[in-house]
Amino acid sequence: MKITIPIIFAALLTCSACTKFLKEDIYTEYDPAQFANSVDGFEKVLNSAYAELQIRGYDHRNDVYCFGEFCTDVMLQTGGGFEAQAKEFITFTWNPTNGFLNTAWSKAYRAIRNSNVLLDNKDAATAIPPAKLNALVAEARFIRATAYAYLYNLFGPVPLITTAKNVDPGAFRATDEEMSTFIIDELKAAAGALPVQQSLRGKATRGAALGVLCKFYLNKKMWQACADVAEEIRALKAYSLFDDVSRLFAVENENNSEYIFAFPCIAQSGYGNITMAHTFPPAYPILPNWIIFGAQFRLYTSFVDSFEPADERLKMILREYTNTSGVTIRMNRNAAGAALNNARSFKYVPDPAGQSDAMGNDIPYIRYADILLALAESLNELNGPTQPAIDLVNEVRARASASLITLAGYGSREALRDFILAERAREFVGEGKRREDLIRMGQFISGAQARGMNAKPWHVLYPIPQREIEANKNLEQNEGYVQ
Amino acid sequence: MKRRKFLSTKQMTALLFLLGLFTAAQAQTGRVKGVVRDEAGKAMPFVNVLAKNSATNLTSGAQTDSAGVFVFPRLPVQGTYSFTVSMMGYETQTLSGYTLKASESTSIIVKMKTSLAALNEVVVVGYGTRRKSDLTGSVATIGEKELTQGVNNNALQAVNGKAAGVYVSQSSSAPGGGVNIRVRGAGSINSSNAVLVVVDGLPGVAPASISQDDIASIQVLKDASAAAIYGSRAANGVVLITTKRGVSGQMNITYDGYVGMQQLAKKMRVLTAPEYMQVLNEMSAAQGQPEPFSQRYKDSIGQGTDWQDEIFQTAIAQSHQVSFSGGAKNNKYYVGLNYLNQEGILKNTDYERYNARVNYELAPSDKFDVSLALNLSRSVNNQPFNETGINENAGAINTALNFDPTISALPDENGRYRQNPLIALENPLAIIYGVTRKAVINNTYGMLTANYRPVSGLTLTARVGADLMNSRSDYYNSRMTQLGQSAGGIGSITHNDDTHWLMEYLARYDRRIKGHNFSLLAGTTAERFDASSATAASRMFLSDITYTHLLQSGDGISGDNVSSGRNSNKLHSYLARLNYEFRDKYLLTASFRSDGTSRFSDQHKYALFPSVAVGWNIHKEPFMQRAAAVSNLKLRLGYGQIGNQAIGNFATLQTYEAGGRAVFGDNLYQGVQPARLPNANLRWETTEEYNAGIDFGFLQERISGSLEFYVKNSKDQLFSKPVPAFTGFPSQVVNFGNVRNKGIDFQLNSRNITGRNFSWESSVSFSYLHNEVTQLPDFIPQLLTGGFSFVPNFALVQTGYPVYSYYGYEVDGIFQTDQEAATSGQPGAKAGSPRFKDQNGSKTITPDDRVVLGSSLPKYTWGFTNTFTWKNFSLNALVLGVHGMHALDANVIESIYPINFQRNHMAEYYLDRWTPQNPNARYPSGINASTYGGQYSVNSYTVEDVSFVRLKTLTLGYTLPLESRTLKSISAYLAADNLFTITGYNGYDPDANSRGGQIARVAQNSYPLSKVYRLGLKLNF
Repeated sequence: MKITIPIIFAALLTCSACTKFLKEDIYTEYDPAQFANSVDGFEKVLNSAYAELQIRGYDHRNDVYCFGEFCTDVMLQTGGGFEAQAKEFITFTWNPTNGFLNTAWSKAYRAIRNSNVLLDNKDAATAIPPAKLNALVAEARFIRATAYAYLYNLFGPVPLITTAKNVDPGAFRATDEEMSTFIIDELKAAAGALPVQQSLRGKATRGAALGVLCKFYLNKKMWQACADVAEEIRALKAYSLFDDVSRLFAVENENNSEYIFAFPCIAQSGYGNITMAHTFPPAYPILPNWIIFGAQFRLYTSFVDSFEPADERLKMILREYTNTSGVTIRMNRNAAGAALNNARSFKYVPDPAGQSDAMGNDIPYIRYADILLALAESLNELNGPTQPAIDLVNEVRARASASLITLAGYGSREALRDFILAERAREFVGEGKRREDLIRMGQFISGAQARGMNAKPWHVLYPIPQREIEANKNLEQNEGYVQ
Repeated sequence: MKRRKFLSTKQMTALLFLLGLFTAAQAQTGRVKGVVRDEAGKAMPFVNVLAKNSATNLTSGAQTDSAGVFVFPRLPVQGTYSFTVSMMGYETQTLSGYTLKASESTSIIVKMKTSLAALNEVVVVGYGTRRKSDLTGSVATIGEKELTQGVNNNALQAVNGKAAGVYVSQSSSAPGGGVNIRVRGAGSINSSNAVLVVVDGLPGVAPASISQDDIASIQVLKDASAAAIYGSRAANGVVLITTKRGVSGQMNITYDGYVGMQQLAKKMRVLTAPEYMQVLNEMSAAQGQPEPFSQRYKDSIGQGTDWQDEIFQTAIAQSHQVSFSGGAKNNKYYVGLNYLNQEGILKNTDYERYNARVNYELAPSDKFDVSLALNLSRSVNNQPFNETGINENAGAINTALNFDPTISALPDENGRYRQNPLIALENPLAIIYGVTRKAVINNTYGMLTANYRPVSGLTLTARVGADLMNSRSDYYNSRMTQLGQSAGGIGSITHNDDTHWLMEYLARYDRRIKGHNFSLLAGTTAERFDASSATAASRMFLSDITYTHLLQSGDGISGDNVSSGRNSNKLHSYLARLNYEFRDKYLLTASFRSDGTSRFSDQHKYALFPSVAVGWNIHKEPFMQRAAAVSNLKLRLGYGQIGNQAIGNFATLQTYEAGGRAVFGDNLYQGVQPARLPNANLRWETTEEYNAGIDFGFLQERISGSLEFYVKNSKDQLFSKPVPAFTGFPSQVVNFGNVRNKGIDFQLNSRNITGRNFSWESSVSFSYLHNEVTQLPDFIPQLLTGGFSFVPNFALVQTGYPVYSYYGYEVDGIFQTDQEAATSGQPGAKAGSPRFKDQNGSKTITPDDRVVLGSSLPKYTWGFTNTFTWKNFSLNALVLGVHGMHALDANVIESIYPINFQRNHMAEYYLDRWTPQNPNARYPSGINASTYGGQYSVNSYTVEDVSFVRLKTLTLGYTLPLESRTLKSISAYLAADNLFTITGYNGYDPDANSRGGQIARVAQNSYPLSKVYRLGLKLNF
């Protein structure tokens, strides 16, 4: 019996302690309260909001190139397993189950959620000095509004979620007016509270908020408002065109004053710019620390031919190279002059410190040239061709050593409009702006049809991701896509 | 005194030399020699004989050799002896009254009678044992002799083909590769479908950490009434492994080992260099492009390189086991030492394991005993690199199949393996020799058990168990590869530390009152699981020479990475079981287990898992006595509930987690974010199962078997319910939905011929499975998952279909003209494109035209074992069959819709491709393949029937009868594993599943099966 007693005792002890025993231990996650009332906590939440807003790596490939370029007249893609995915965008056969659209949608809403977490806590954050709190809140509002502007650009009006608490899973899409008003008001408020300069590259500034607002107005064709905001940005005196456009996108020039808002990249897997691995043609003489993918981003010959020979921007386009076997390969046109649609945009000057596919070249979201051309376009739409509009276009062209245009040469609003559209293609190729520019100018669908694609008027908006429709029956699909 | 004798130096010396003189010469001893035969007069090996001296109570044990001979070389002469002869399946016989004379030999002849006692065989069930005749649940028993042989580094391989309803699949044939076992289908859509492995009462042991030669028997608890005693972990079946124990008597030493030669069982047919150049030329021409290979170039290449020949080798496998067992009245021991070494048929892969087991029992008194079961194992595994990667990240097998056959296998003048810059693949040999993946696992587990029997019939048991696993994985990609070159070497080390502690208290009371036999078990158990990990990685090393041994010699900026994690969960349970038998005819088993887990919220911590089962031994009824041919007839009915708690931690809590990192300037900034939408109402997935079975035996059990029917409903499935992403989360874990598995298990054993010199025994296991999703939540009318690299989601979960069915397009021909293609409405189709069937008649091909193309679960599986013996020869063959199973073949996808046109591919798809000259081709043209690849790549070309019949093992054995005092028997065998496989499947192994997951099967350059020839030797001292 000597042995039985301790056994029975131990058994009883186990039972009485079992509630405590079954408490869940957490070693790797946090109590939300820890981040709810301190500058440090707020900044950590804000970091995760920025992390979702910033688009780089493979998201950049899908977003900028698939959504913004392959469906247009400047860039196409072949090769690799990616070809089948890119083809949907090239040929206007995307549908609501497209995974890239779903990823983009979810990522933007995570940026919104993380901003909302901070905004939900702002009134209770009494331990944060008011001035600091205002600045942090302004950054959160900027991120949220920018994410909504991004979603609006791709999908049209979407559900407006402005809190992270008890979000109604049956929310409806906002009306166009609600959506626009929200984005405009929030960006204005953020611009009012954000500093003109931030110590860290990539953080929201007043110019960034105004820049997003300016582009939102432009795409909404709110010409006067767009012009006013563009002037406001110029009045900040914080931005200027970088002198050597062919080196603007090089890693060493990241701290230029032309980028108004950019997604910084570093040469590290997951945090890099992966454009060049998709751009180097086969057997291109790369550094040993770079890589060439089977998937290849190519430029239409018709687009490459639109540059004047002296245009500095043409230097960023690879039209011929000598491969590792010493053979010279022609990319744009073959010896017989036939179009090859195979030149490459070497805008992102390959980063010598690149790590395999990841290079450190920052990805510009809005740069000053965009604002200048937006202003020129707005002025043209408001007043027809005027010298100020011509001067703005010339400012961008002069920087690239392209010939200057004259008011006399562009006598009609339509002529100048078309020129600005073409100029924007040359200036912003590879920056994901072509789709919205073509849509705004009414040439997105007609252009695609002219290229032989089965484009329909409703293709100006991407479909709401199917999984969202399935998860929320109140969500209405965009016109033209099967519900 | 006996104990002192056991520990004597002389015995230790004997032990070390594995032979020799065990007992000190005693003045007055006699020799007893006997032979044991069965009713047919055939010698019976492995029969236990126990000698007992009536005067001194001295006991001594012996076992018969292959000639049926047992010997007690030196028994003290005083007193009289009795000899008890026992063997499973035979009536135990006791011969008494023998008096020995000094230095004289006494002979005994024993004739054993078969008994219905096969039914008295003791079967291990959860937390106890039952006689087979008293079982009410569905329990498959595989004895030591029946374990499937082979180069087994995982105990689960040993039940392959042996138990109906238990399907064992070798998902990778890599040394140390994965084994999947499914008991009666798969019930869980999103949680684990893995069985619970219990070794000597300790749940959750890794089946790779045990030597097969230490296993005495394996029991599979198949139905819920049997498994419910394991509650929330039993939903996928329970495998109970019982290891060998010592038997009182003299020390028994055995050696059991083999050396084997492994060869690639089947080579994949890819294009040879001349074919490759020809095909590329033709296809280029068909696309209006210049031919890449001139005739002169083609001539210069000749036969090119067969990359499969370059990466595969003939490999050696060997296993050596030495076991010692024995004991005295108050102590018994078993010690097993095993060394297993399996080289891989893929160069630079291997698996090496050292295993030591000690089972020791001490019984200081009749009322009290303590036992320790301890297992130590260490494995070192050189694994193949990235079996499932693509492009430059692909593994050697993948790459060898796709690599340019015109390139020389020899390194270039700089010592680097040659590349083809157009195909974005590493050279296969650079991967083999330049990349290392090594995993070292140290696993120690054991259980300390104390039993106390204060009064007759009552046993109190306390147990403490621990399972401690440490593992370290090293990865180094050297500058020999392009990737390693561009990163200056990539090295990482991951260390995992997993611990599992168990403490349990059980009380059992057995009582027999007249015809009523009760056995009552009650207990409580508490378990804690703790897992922690740490990873460090760096790049840009000063030199490759330091491998992973000097991570700090990386440059510290380009991709240094550290991470760590820890989580723990706890389980607390009460359990009880009642066994009641009336006149051994009417049987009742009822059990319950109440499991509480830390993973669920306070209001759902505990859940009850009850079971009840009844049995009727019909053959014991008086009215059956006239049916003498029927030796056993039993009806069993059972019902039980079992759970699946395989969900992640914290699912019921709202917490913040480390989120994404923002980049500002040139630095990363770590963010924090809400972790999930918690659900405080989560509870266990629960499986309810009904089982009905008939056990039968005829002609004194010459023919015996069972037939069982079951229906299993697995409800409250844990689902990640998709929620609108605007909530900030993709999904929330909820309980919903039901999967039904129903089927038939049939087992038949027969001793066909039992002649004196010749005998033939057969056993068949057969099972039929019908798996169906019977209910899904309305928020997920269908679940489509499984997509990888460039292959879209293919695995469908939808009501009315088997779980994870293949979902894609049906090919009903090939377009012969561009015009036919254009009018079909199939996007992008041209002449030579496959014609997808327009299932809904919409005149266009959309995702709505996808249909179910097959199931990933086999419909029928069977195993057929035959053993022939002729004199001292034996021949054993195991044939396995798996039918109605499908797999998605990524190699076919890559061949029909290549990521890269210039890569090599499976020959069949190119040699019989459509061209205007070959309009009746089986396969499409390969021109403009991306128009029918991508979202269309899951179709009836790429989803294949992988049914197969395989000669799993064929063993020819010979036993040499010996009269030697030291060496009791020698037997040798020659075995061949995987000698042939009959299948329509084109890849390496229809059974392999390199990247599909736990249910869906995807073959992608799986590590190929090997054909093995083994020469084995068994010595018994």
